[in-house]
Amino acid sequence: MIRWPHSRNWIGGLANLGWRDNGAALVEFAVSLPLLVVFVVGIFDFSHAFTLKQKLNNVARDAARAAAADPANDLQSSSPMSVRDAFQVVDSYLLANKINDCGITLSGSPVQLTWTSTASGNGCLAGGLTIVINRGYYFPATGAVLPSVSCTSRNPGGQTAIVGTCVSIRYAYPWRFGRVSSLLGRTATLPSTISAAAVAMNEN
Amino acid sequence: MVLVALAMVAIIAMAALSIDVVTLYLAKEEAQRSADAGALAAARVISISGVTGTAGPDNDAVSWSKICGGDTSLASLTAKAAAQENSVAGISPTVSVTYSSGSGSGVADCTAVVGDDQLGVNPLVTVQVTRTSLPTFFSRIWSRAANTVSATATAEVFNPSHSGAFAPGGTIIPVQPRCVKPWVVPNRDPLNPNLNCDQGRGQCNTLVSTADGSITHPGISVNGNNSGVIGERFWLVPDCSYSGSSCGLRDNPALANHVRTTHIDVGMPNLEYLPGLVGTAVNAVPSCAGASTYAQAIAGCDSSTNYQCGVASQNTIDLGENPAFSGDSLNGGKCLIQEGDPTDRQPDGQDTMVLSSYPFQILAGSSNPLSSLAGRPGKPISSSNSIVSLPIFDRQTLANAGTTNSVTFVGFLQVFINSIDQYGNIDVTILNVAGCGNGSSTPGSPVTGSSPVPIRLITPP
Repeated sequence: MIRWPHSRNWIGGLANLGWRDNGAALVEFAVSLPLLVVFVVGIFDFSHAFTLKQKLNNVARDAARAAAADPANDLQSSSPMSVRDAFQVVDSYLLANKINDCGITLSGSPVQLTWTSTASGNGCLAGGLTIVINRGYYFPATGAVLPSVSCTSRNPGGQTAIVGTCVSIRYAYPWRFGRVSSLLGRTATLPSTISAAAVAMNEN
Repeated sequence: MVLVALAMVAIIAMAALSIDVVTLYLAKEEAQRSADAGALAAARVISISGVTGTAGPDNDAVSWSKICGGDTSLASLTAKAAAQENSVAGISPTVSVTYSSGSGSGVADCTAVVGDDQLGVNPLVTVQVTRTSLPTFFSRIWSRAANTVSATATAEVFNPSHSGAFAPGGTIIPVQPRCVKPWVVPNRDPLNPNLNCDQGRGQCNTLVSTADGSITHPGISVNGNNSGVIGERFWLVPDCSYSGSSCGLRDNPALANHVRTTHIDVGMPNLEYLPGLVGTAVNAVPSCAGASTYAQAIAGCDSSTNYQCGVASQNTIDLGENPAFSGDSLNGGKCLIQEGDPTDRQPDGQDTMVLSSYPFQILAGSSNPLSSLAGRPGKPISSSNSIVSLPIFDRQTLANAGTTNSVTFVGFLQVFINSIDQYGNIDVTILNVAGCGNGSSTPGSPVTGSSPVPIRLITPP
């Protein structure tokens, strides 16, 4: 029989009110277990997600900065030096941080100045990993709008187009919380990917 | 049940720690990223604008004010825009931009900064990013509903000219720009004191002082009004005869304003350039550059040649190359700026620069890959492949044809290439001048960057 210590004392006594309490502790435990599980799994799961988000943030920033400082002379080729650099920064960072890179390789077919590479090999979830590198990301000097996950430029109208590099990374995240939350009779809707985007102004 | 309820308080406290505190850390990290991007963007605007070539706001308050004179100035707006492109906890943060010279506190208007001379060569820009109302999830049980995070980043713009006046020991700190083009120009300003200098009509002044690296004619020329070296527009012409595989010198030493009758349909002002020795490892070469390493170094980025500024006889001019007659200057340059037909003297495809008002605007050419994206031809953009760095050498007599000569680089020019013609003549506008002097026998550790006026993030003094 599982018992909370001191359950016969004043705390237990409040709940008992004259009833026999031999099975009560078990019932209490059974009732509270889902809640405990949801909390513990939630703490683990969200912490893990936050850690991943932070890593993706860091690497998106590093990659954007690296590409923005590189020469822009060869941007009309299929794999310019600066894009290879940015991609390499992301890939080696992921591997160094023990994050499965899903076997990703740099896309050789840009759409205008945007290279979108995707992979879901190496046992990754569907959706896997997507790295978007837009070397010709431009935006106006006023009216702040955050870049989309596809790093689509914004037409500045008559203003000067500030030209920069946008790097966006999406990574499919295996939420455990969604399944666990059904123990409480509620289904949590969680984003299927963790994403991060960074923009740096081109130096060249 | 009551026990569970009590335990829940502890568990929620733990959740608050793990989730809410991590949210804070993440937001802090994102704010730092946003601030870094903003500070670098502002520094880049200041660098490319050429204001560091004016010897400080006291000499040219009007120009400085347009670049960094408060919240609506170009650098401040750009910093804000770049910072706000980077989200902090899901939304654009609030941004404030201040300037300083390294001594004294930062102010929003750089013309009011204490330490004018130092600001003139080494402006510091500080961007503070703040995100208020950061939501909390669990720590609401302590009635903590919203948090604020902020982060600060400082970037410097460094023009080495006259930097000895502020550096410890009075030593000039040299620069080492990347992707320097092998068009080596003599230390001669073809428009100073006037268009008729050199060629027996009085000597041209220098671009930079060989003694202390300072700019000889600081200031900004708007619309060719000759009030300073920044914004001067002239032709770079090869100092090589238009024949033979090696460079037969036309003028030795090289001059400004050579009156030419053949293979130049350009007038004055002009400045003769010499072929620099290029390395073998050239990066980022566009496919149109062709096979010549010299042309590739123009169209791409010569990463193997170590351009030492201010150090005696550390650099090489290669008279085995004739950039004009070989067509290398034309092929490389045309490929770089994406010019169409070089013979018609009209901008066709390449980016152009508006010199009629300051700050100078770059207009996207029809061949610029950005043009097609949103109807940009003819519209202003912030960067261009037509902006290049050239070395300035301490003018000396060279040993002729086919040989290499050791020379001293005393500075760099950053120029915008307006066009290039079929004889290898290059129409340029000066955007920046950086001087390192010629006095150093032991090279100091140079500041590297993508421009002769490099920018970088620093820890604020």
